[in-house]
Amino acid sequence: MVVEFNNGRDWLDRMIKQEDYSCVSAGGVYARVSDMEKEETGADLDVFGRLVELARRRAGMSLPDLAAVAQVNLKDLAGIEKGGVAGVEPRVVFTLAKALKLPVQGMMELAGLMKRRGRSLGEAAMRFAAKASHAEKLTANEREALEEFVKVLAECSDGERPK
Amino acid sequence: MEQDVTIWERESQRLITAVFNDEVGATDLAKAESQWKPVRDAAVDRLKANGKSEREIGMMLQHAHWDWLQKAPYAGLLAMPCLGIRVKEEWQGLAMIELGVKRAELQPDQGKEIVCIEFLEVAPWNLKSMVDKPKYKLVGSRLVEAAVQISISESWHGRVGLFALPQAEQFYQGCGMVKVEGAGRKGMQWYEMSRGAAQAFISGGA
Repeated sequence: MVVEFNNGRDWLDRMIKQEDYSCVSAGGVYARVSDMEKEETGADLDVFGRLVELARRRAGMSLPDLAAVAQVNLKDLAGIEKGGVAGVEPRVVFTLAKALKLPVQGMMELAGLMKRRGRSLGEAAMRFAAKASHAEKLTANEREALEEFVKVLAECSDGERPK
Repeated sequence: MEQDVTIWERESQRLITAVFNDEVGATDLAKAESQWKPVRDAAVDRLKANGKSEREIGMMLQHAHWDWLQKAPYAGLLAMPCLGIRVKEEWQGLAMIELGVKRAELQPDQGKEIVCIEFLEVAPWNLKSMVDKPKYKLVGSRLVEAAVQISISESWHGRVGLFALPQAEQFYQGCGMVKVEGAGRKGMQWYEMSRGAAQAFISGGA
């Protein structure tokens, strides 16, 4: 939409003066986030790493390719895929999810950054981990496991679908 | 969508044309955070070097510890419209709004939809508490004004609400917003702009 800003000199002068005496800020979401951070979470970094790896291979990307697209440090990305990086930052999860077209919220849950809202994701994660290998080429079974898990991940993300 | 907006440049003491964007995305947030964080950190370091305690620094800077890039995905913020103002490639202020989730407390529209400004922050180099020579004014005012205009476009008559930081309360009162007792959270007060106040604010009569 086009915002019709007031460009009247009186209004501008008044607001300029008003900003002299106090800064302008609001932070309701800070309270919301503080509450959320207290909630119990459970990371499944191995599954998270496998998911990133398979989704990357499905997309035909190398590690450096994905690191560049998602603006993630290559060494960190390699560690994430091996499931060895605890405390993955929300920004990294977000950019990886976007780059790999995976549901952001489900990825956040897997990384332990949000509270899990159901058991189905955990069970699907276990099934997925059992089928996924680290071989270079995605097998038909792996592809099927990946598609199935991404579907569950999306369903667990309040209807959010991979784009 | 981007459009021109006028803000005040302190150094030249004149109005300049900046860019308003009502579709700020994740990449822009990341960029803003990368631009703002070093300035915030430097302000904190300066205060520490001057012997200020963590508590005093917290009181003085208030939102210096908020890392919005980190927080955004937590709260699903990216589902909310995000507004921003930039000068060239430098983000001067950001606001995230939520449409119609919270309800008005004030009469005559109690219980009706409002635009909630969930987050509003002006770049640290525009704040006296952060730097010796702030750059621009009107950034915060323009973001509030945009939220009011969006409320009007939603047929909500300009009703807007927000949780104000203590240092910002005076500003919002000057805009005609009213503190709603008992609705605050975590040291922040709930302020609301009624339809009458919104009309007065955008027309210059607040």
